[in-house]
Amino acid sequence: MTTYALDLLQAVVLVLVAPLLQGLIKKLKAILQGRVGPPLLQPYFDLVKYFRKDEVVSIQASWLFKAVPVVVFGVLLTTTLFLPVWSPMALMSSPGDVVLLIYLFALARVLTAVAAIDTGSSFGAMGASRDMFISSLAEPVLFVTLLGVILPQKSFALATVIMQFLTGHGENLLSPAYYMLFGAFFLLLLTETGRLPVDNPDTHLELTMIHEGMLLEYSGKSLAMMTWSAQIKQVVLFTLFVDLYVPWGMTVSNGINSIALGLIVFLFKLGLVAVLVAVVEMSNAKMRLFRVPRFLFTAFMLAVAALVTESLL
Amino acid sequence: MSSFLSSTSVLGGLFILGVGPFAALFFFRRLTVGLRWLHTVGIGGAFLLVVTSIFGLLHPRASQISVWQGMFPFISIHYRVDSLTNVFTLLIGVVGLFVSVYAVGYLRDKGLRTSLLWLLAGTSLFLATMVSVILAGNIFTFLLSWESMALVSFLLVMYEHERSEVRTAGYIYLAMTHIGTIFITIGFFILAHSTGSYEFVGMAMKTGVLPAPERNWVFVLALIGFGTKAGLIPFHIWLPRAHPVAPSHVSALMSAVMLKTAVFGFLLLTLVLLPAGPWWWGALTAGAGAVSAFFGILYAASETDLKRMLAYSSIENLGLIFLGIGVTLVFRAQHQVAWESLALAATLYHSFNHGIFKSLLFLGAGAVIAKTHVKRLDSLGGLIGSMPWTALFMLVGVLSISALPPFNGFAGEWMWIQALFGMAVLNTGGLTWFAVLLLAALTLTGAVVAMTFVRMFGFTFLALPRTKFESGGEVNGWMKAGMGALALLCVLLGLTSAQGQTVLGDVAQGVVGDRPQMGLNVNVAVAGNVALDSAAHLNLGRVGLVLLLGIAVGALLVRWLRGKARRVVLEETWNCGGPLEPRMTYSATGFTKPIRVAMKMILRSTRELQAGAGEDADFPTKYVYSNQLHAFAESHLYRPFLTGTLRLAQVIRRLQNGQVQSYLGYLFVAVLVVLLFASEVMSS
Repeated sequence: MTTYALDLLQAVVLVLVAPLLQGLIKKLKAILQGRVGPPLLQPYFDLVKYFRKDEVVSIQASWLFKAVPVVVFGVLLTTTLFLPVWSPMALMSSPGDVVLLIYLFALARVLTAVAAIDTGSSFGAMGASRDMFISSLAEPVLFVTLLGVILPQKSFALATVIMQFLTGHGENLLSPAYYMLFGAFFLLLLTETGRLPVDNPDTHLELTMIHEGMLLEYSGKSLAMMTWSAQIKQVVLFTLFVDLYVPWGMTVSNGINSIALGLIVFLFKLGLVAVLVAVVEMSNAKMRLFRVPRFLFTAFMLAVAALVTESLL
Repeated sequence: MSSFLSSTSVLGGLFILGVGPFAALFFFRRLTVGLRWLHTVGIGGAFLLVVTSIFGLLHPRASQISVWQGMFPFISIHYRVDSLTNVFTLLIGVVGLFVSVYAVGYLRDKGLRTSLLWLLAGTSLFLATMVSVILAGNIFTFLLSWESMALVSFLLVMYEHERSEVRTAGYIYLAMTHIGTIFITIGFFILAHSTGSYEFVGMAMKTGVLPAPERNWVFVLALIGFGTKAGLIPFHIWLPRAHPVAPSHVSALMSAVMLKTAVFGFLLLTLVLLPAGPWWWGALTAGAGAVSAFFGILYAASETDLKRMLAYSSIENLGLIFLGIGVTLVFRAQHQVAWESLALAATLYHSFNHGIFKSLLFLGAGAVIAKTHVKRLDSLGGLIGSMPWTALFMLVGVLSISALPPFNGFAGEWMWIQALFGMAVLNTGGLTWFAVLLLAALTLTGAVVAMTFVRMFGFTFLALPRTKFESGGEVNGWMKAGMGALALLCVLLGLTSAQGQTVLGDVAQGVVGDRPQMGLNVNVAVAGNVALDSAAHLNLGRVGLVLLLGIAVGALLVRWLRGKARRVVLEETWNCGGPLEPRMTYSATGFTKPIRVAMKMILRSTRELQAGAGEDADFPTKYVYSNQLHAFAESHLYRPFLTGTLRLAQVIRRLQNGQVQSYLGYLFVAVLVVLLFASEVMSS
């Protein structure tokens, strides 16, 4: 029972940390650009504000438009149950949990895209088109990268992969494959979380926005749910990245001290990824949409090169 | 109960569907009675098929029935029932049942015409011939049923023969399906010749004697023959033409069920009749499947005709199914029995699920076209208001075909990913790479499917109608019932994926384990520490429950957080300050433009932008935009073949010069050649 409660707690932590991560990246970017930037906790204030606002709904929209935020929010809440945070086991750990996770993201994406078309706004449909386009190119790259990570471990369960990583003596750090996969996954991370060379999370310029375009017609509590969902997706992907590549500091014990330590280490790792993302975002401009395939192809070739290295070594 | 239901009672459904329609001949004077009779035959026969197939699956027992024994051993009608046939007859029964229910309402809207009697009788016969193909116990029965199926479906495609487009499609279909049949027939006769048996059961016992080159020939012939029927690229050209022009309930049957008879036939030849082949059988099949899947969905993504887009998506799904069969064959060549049954179970599961959601989508498309008389995605829109139920059912179909959890399409895809993972882990070198490539193809295809079907749903049911069309309102109860039941099945088959995997896993193990030639070198224990039973761990029911809980928790959280803000203001969609007009909204063609641009190299899409007719070229008020994909198969395979044949005919024509002397000369030469040949034979 305690184990279940602790596993659930991992998910709750992810949901609560999600806006903080967004705030941290924003703050880091501001510092790197020599601005003061919004307070670290601004995303929380924003969410509270959105929740309390009245909602404006388009007369062209159907029931789908109103139903989608609730469902998407629920789906994203569910995805947090799959991820190990401080313990290698999560509540929904099972073989193939990574695949299920990716497909749950796809479910949320498809519903968001459908709702974006619903209002008849060109921006929504354009955002949906671009988001589906980019994600359809990212999907195979993501799977090949994952295959590269789990192939040497010969297991399809996240928990097993992490445990084998932890009990090993870091010999996989000696393989060049590790670093290539790290690079590939990082590029995917930028793509899937709508970060800068692929999408600009800060813009509301009509012709460049992708994810924001789909949320344009949302307001009030629906906007709050969609925004929070996007933040949860971001933290889940960051956690997956951290779990797969730097799982050190995780603990199997249920003691309060080791959990606290594990949590602190986790937050620290998350912060490091945030720094990395902020630096990349600060030093890159947004690419043209049709450059994205090339960007993703780079990631694909990195993953394939890693697989080649693995089979040679 | 058990006396009524035995393993062979599935033939009862076949009998009703096959003989029932002929009774309608007596009803020509009273059309309504005749139609009612035929509806009853369709629904009743399909229902009987469902019950008996489920019974057969629960109590698996292989048996054979001789229906008619001809003079020669190879001319006889024998049927055979085992767990594999039960899966396919169940699919035909389920889809046939709900399509028949739908047809009651669908045909009612068409008014009373004598031709409806033919159409409906044909539909029942079509179902019967498909069941007959599945249950066939020998070559003669199989080919006879196969040919009848082709002819009946040809007649159904030609239902609206007044339109020239329909006639062209029909004849191309007829030609292609016969080319396929030729390959299949040759393949079967090579088998029969070497084994001396025309019965499938006897044949399977003896195919071990077949020399390797002949096995390979039979395999290649089967791949081409059944690949033609399954619409694999480049043998697909008939499919996107023939499926859309048929009446919608027939399109549903053709896409969802008839293509599966090709899957069944290929499984029968490669897994049951032929002994394990070399690994390249699997690689070739999987490669052909992956190419078909990828190109199929790219064409679907660019197609704006609602039903033709669904037809292309069928090419894609059949491609995935052949990819699955290919993986099965690779495992078979390597004697990885456990993995082989996993891959086979995945393939069977997806074949079944595709039947359910594709028939749902075709029926929904039929409902839309019947009510609006518009079939171009670029002209539709906003139907969710007037057709809320159809929209809801179609949304379920869209989520299922996009392989999203917890709907049924995900289950097969999940198992395939596991199988490909296994293939990558178990092998080294080339086959690992191949598995990685297949995985990339599978997931890329899956993601483009999601995009294609978001487009299909979004631009049919959502936003504003792009053109003015008469919306006839929601469809009648029969059509709603047919679609609703299929939509419900999409959800249920997803949620019960654990049970489904168990049932189909048993079937697959039966197919894999029943082989008489299975040697001792079978390695049941799987190499490495790969968790083989991981596929069984997918319990979509649990996932669905957790998702529901997640949504409930989310909704409660929002309720708590939103405080007193309850007001919802209705406003126009923001359109940069101007009023939103239909022509300003995004188009279905534009939606998938990025894909076409990114795949420019292989799709070679061409676009044309012209001033409208009678417009000033410099200041046109109207543009005509057209977009065309390069049809590779047509221009590089069929066109050269056709022109070559015609040119050859021109050359041969010179022989026919109409002079008696030259004909006498031909005769003389012919006699001479025959004599020479005869003396050669005599002397040797």
